[in-house]
Amino acid sequence: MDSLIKKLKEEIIDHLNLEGLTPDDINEKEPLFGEGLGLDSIDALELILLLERGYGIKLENPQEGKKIFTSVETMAEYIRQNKK
Amino acid sequence: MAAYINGAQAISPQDTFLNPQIPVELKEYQGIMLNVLPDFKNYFSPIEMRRMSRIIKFSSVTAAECIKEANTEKIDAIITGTGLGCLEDTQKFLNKMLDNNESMLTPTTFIQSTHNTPGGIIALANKCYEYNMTYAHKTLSFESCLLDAVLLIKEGKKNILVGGFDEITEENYNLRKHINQWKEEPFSNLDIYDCGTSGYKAGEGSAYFIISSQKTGSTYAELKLVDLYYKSKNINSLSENIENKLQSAGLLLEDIDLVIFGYNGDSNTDIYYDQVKDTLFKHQDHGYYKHYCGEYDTSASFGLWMTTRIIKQNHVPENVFISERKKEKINNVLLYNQEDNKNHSFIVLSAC
Amino acid sequence: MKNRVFVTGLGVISAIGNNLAENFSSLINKKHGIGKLDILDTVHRDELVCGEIKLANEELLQLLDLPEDTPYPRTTLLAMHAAREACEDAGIFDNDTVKTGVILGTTVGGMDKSEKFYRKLNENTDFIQSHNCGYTTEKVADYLNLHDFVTTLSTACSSGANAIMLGARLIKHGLLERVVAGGTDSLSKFTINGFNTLFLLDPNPCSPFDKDRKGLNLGEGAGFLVLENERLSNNKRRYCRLSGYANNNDAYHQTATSSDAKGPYLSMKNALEISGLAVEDIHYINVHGTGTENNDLTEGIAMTRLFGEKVPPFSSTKAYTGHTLGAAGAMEAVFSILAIKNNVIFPNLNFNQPIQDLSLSPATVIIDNAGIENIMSNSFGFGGNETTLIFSKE
Repeated sequence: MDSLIKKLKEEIIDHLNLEGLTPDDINEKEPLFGEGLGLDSIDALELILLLERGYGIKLENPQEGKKIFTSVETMAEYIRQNKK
Repeated sequence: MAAYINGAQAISPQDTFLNPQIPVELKEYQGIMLNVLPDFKNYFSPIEMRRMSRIIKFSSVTAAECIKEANTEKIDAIITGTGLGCLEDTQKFLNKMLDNNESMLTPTTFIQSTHNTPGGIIALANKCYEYNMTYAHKTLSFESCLLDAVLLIKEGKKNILVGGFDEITEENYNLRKHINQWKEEPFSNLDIYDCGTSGYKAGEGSAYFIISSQKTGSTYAELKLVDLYYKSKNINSLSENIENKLQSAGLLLEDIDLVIFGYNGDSNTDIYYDQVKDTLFKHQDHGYYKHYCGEYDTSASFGLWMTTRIIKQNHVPENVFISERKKEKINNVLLYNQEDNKNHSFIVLSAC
Repeated sequence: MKNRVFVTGLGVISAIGNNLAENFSSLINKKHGIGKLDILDTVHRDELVCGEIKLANEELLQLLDLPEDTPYPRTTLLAMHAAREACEDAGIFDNDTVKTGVILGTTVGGMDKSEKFYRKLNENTDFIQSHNCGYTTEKVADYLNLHDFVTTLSTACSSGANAIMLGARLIKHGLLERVVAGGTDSLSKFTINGFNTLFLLDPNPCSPFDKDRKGLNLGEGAGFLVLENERLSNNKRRYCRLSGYANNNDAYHQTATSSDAKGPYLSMKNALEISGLAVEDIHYINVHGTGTENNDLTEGIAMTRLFGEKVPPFSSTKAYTGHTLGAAGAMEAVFSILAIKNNVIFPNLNFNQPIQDLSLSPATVIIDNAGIENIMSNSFGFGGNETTLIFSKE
């Protein structure tokens, strides 16, 4: 597994308090929201802080998050392009 | 219109969860009395649990098992009572806010911190779109729920879920040391009665009940009376009030077989129990319960849980008694709780 | 259950006035109270506008004739102020022997004081006891010398409305003859930061029900009603009757309302049923209307579900006062009753264009002689807690 992807999965589990899940339980291609992992709009706001704290990326508009947080893969892609 | 208790479950510092009996052996605590918790993984998936603090989990599980026990098809209302609500989430958000000077905050602990979060989560879990209320009135929070439930039964509702819960955290425990609320440690919960020192033991718990208009196979008792009383003028007016209220429920003082008091070990306020015990209730059997659960705002809900077992089994464990048993059969039990001689509550359960 | 419930006294304090007369004057003169914070000390001072009451705690204590070292949180002081006005308005005097309840709704209790001293225990430990919600209710009851029945509800932003509903039910059941019921909340860093993390705060004055609404403004205040039964209110001035009420749960999400607005729809429908009125009898709705994307859309959906194409005139008064959380339901009950009494509909400020797919436009100018017989007031809160009250001319 790509190291950023693995790290992200660990961070998501830790940050969203998904006690009992391991990185292997999250498929990086599957949607994080709704039918996939089952996250919702409040988790999206938590993930915004994860980007800010961990990668120095600040989203001003939470709407931007929708696209970025589609899956772990899209998140990793966004981080690679925008990391400071 | 009669109201029955058709389900009664409690999580407490003793082995009470899913226990049809009052535990005979008491767990001893020298410090904080923390709940004995079930394995929450049996109840929730990791996704469901991600935002649930301890109190939300233990409250939800107690409610779920209570609904299951009463085998209730449809819940017509959910009423919850809590003194301090979701304390851990409140503290977490407050601490982060103070630590980070109001920056780098996330919403989860904030949205979960409201007093009605557990009630809302139970509604969500049961797809219950009906009346959903939360009382937060110190030591009368739970009794306010019961009173509301009785009103709803009179208004034609059939099955009402009523719960009382509070959590204690290390941080809150330390905070309240500053106003000398607690017993100095070590102090055993087994020694609270007539101990002659001030302060009480910190406890926590959740107890849920199904209050129903119908008697069923799972009925524990009839809920005959719920009365809340703020600032009695003196012991006489308190006694007069309780006699009047009993009368309105069709009972005489002599009908009460057992009085269960909320003695918490604080000698400054336990004297108010002594006063009514030795005057108004001198002919009754006497018991107490806070050596089981400690003191917290909704501890009367634990007292009620205990009473449901006592009535159903016509058995009072030795640990509960203050005085020697005089009565053969326990038909009517009065539960009396008070805080600083200011907030008083009376609940009467009757065998049926 | 036949006892009817009448409103005989009102009291309110908010960003648009310290009493009933001032609030009414602001409402009909389109004078809002949203602006920069002067009293609450927060790092967000310069980026936010709120509905702050421009009286320091010391000034509130003076108005209440209390010693300057009285340790009450601001939330308590606001409640006392509005509750006293309501009792005076209803002509309740100290020597009165009527069985009277005091019921309060609040969200975070004494948080305004707790957050100040949480790390300064050497300066102050009073907050440890004033933090809980019931503290304020007891202080209000003591201040009014009314000790017959006292309790507190905390159901997020519908708390104040739920206090009024419980008061009405206790009177209907004949358990009390009179209830002083209301809601209170002061601004606090806790709630400001909470709503800020949810991206729910509009940095400018909010625009409820507008297509481009950006969120809510927080506010503070307290509102109280005196409710009395038929017998007590018989020879008194009655503002109106509390004819309907209902609480339902949306059972969908902790903070968001479901897309079909089931909870809000049910609370409006059930309140209507209790009142025995038909949809066309409602002449004005004081909507919850916070100005957030989710609330206004779903509240609009619920109104359309219930009223069809004939949604009555409606407006949100939150652009005047800000969202006052636990106080909102009670304050807006006071405003609704003022609307009935004066036969006027208050305008919804800052509205330009209706929400797409909803085509609902609130009243934007003052409507005089509005022919109001029955008013609906909505209050919705976290945890899917939805309450509707209906007030009727006799």
